[in-house]
Amino acid sequence: MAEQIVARKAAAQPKTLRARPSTSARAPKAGNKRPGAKESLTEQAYAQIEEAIVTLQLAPGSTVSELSLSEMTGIGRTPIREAIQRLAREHLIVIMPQRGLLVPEIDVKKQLKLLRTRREVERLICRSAAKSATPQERDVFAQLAEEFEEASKANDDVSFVRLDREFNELCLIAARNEFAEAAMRLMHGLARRFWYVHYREAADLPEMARLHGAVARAIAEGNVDAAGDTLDALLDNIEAFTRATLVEF
Amino acid sequence: MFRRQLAPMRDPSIGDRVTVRSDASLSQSAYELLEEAIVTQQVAPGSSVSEAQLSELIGMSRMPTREAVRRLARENLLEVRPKCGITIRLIDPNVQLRLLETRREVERLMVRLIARECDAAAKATLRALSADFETAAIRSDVLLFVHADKSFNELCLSICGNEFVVGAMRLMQGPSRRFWFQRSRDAEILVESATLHAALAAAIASGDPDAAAHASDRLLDSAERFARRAIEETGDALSVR
Repeated sequence: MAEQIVARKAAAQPKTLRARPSTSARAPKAGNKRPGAKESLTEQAYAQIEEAIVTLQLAPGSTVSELSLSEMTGIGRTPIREAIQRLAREHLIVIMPQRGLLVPEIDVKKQLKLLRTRREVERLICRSAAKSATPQERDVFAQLAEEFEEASKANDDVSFVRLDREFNELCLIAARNEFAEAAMRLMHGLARRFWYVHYREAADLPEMARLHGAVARAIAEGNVDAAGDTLDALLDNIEAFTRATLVEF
Repeated sequence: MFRRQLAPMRDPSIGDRVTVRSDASLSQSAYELLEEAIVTQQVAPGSSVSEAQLSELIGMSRMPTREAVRRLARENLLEVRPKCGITIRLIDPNVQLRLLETRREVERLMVRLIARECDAAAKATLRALSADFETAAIRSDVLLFVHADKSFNELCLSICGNEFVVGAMRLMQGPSRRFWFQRSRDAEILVESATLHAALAAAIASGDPDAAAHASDRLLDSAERFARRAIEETGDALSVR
């Protein structure tokens, strides 16, 4: 896995980070189903529906059904049902008894609660990553830091989104704490969706990219306290951006 | 493989009500029953089981059992592998240390939030629980401690007001309880844990977020010490981060 990550250094074009099976399931390809392998069908259903919610294809405030989700994904009702349970625990779907399924509205207060929790867990993850990253992983963090800087200077939001995803996945790997990782994954979808909705208006992208770069650099250098401090600065920025969206209404 | 069969978990007289429960609540019941069985080691750590066996053990049908298995796999209580089936994870103090590292951060936030927000009724309940913890410490009473602990945890989760804190804490409850359950016969652990829980409940009831945070850290320090001791005892050579 680390070897795959290191290989990106040599590539002329940045590759999509295939950090772990669950990440590759987030970009499902048609015809990828193994017959009778319900495990992976649930994973695929989850990944596809989550992506659709995060990217607003399933609009906030809209209602869906097991049937419509089944048709959308081409996956059967049973794995869909299991995926829905998981998405409900992650606050991406609301199950309304007898009334169907709701994709929740964007809720700024809820986002702020999420950020308070995310701050504590993510600080631990970044500190742990600074402590536990392998030399190859540190090389990639250093490279990410440079690319964040470039994206910052160029105000390049497309690159930023890609780098952010790679960075987040690598942090989870390098931290080597399955409980912190599980806690982060609970919040991941909702956090991404909020960003998706608002970042064009409200975010100072160069600053956000710069702050991400600072965390990546601290982890690369193995500086545990700096990793925590830069993460706090990043979360301060995200919190400010979140509060600013209230003003938009 | 099974230490003993679970006593019937459901009152037969509520059979009619059970049949109209939704899929979601059946899943939730299966999850709770299966987690309990694993936590109390009625299914032995390290054992391999089939979905059918678990289904029969908890008295629920295959679908909710399967969903429960999936959830508990994500919570690191069991492992599902394509050809090996379902394996109940061994209790590993190194895993426990990583759990405690995470729990420390989330629980500190949780008790700060509660200390600031809790009303008079919650404070009264917390003080009563604090007294129960102290009694449990004095008498080395495991049952009283377990009962107070469960009430305390559920109270905190219900009044916390932050669903993401709650979600993160719930993820860690199963493995945490199982580790503690294994060690609870050690009187020293019981007394120290009960005493620190008493202090934490009282600190939260005082309404001072800093005092609550400090008491939470002290409790986690203690839990960490016991986990490290478990590593030494088993002669575990795996290096601890």
